[in-house]
Amino acid sequence: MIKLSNVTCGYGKNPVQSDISLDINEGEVVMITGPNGVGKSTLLKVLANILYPTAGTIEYGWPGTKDPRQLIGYLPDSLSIYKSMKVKDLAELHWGAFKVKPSPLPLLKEASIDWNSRIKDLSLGQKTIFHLSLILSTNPKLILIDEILHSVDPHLRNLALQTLVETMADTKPTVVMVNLNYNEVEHLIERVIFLTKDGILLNEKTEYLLENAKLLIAETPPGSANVLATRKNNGRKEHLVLPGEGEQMKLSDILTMLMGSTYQSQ
Amino acid sequence: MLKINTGSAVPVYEQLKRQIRLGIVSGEYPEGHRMPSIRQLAAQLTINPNTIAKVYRQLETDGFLNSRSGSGFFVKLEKEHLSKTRKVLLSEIADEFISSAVQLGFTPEELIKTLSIKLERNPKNDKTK
Repeated sequence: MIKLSNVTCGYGKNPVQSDISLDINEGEVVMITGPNGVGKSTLLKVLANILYPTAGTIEYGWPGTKDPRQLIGYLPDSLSIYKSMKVKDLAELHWGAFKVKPSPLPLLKEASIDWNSRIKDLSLGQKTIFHLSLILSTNPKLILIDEILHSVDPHLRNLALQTLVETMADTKPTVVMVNLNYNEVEHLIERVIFLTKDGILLNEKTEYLLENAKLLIAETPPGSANVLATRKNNGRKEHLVLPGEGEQMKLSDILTMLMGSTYQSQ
Repeated sequence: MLKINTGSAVPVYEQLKRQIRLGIVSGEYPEGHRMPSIRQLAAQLTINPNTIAKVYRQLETDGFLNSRSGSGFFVKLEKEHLSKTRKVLLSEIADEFISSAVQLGFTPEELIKTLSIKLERNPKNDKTK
């Protein structure tokens, strides 16, 4: 289990997030979501062990591992490093650093990436696919994916997700993704962490949300209902209640409504 | 081909279970048919492999599938079980039909009348053939 205890993180004097406590189970697939600028990517960097918390601790629960980074595959939101290197050189460098044997990267062919291309000549989508293939080839126990997949065209994005799912079936890694397209990943994720500038607003299993989050149409919801968000739709008031009575909702609808409410309250 | 209706509020677990069950009862998946592997189906539908595993295990418990260790899940058919399941499925379809019609405010008489007209007009139901 990965355990964040009272983590404060950020750059310079002003923390982006403070006092975050969070447990992520082995093999769990989690999505961190929330509005822009609340520190989702920063939190992901803490999980990637490349940004140390300014207060609090992170434990991975991998006994016998000196450097947790050896077991982490991290796909950041910008991939502008090593521009002049060739694809094959970067792959070899990566495998060397992770002490793994070279292996074929099946996604490269599908994305028309030549082994001898220079990184700078690849499109953003191709770079992302290459980086993802590299990460998956090192057999990580923890896969971290930032918002970057948005930059990949639908065909390659679908391919990337399929490959990720195959890896999930093969090696059961823990996966933490940031803000992917809800409709594309709603059947993949087992838990949602909704982050706002004030910390974790929601940290629930998908199963629980699908069963208990309901859309209630009423001018005023009953006092007993726990209302998470409210919106106007065609002149009527809709409330997201958890738990409560109302219409069943899809995960993407629940999250989209929650996202909307964080903007209204600003 | 198994598909997920992304617009539906019915959980994917339930959607998949129903589709496979329907495929077995309708004969689309015959006795001994090898179901797609968890890995393959999960990737094809972009669904968590655990969900597929849960569906297969439930169908195994319900007597529709057999698992052979290392080689996957296979369709299992028992006549008695099959006829019972067909009745259960019909009853579920009827429940869905009734509940949506009631929601629209139709009376039982109107439902029966519509159903019999539809049945008469349905070419698949022509008993003279």
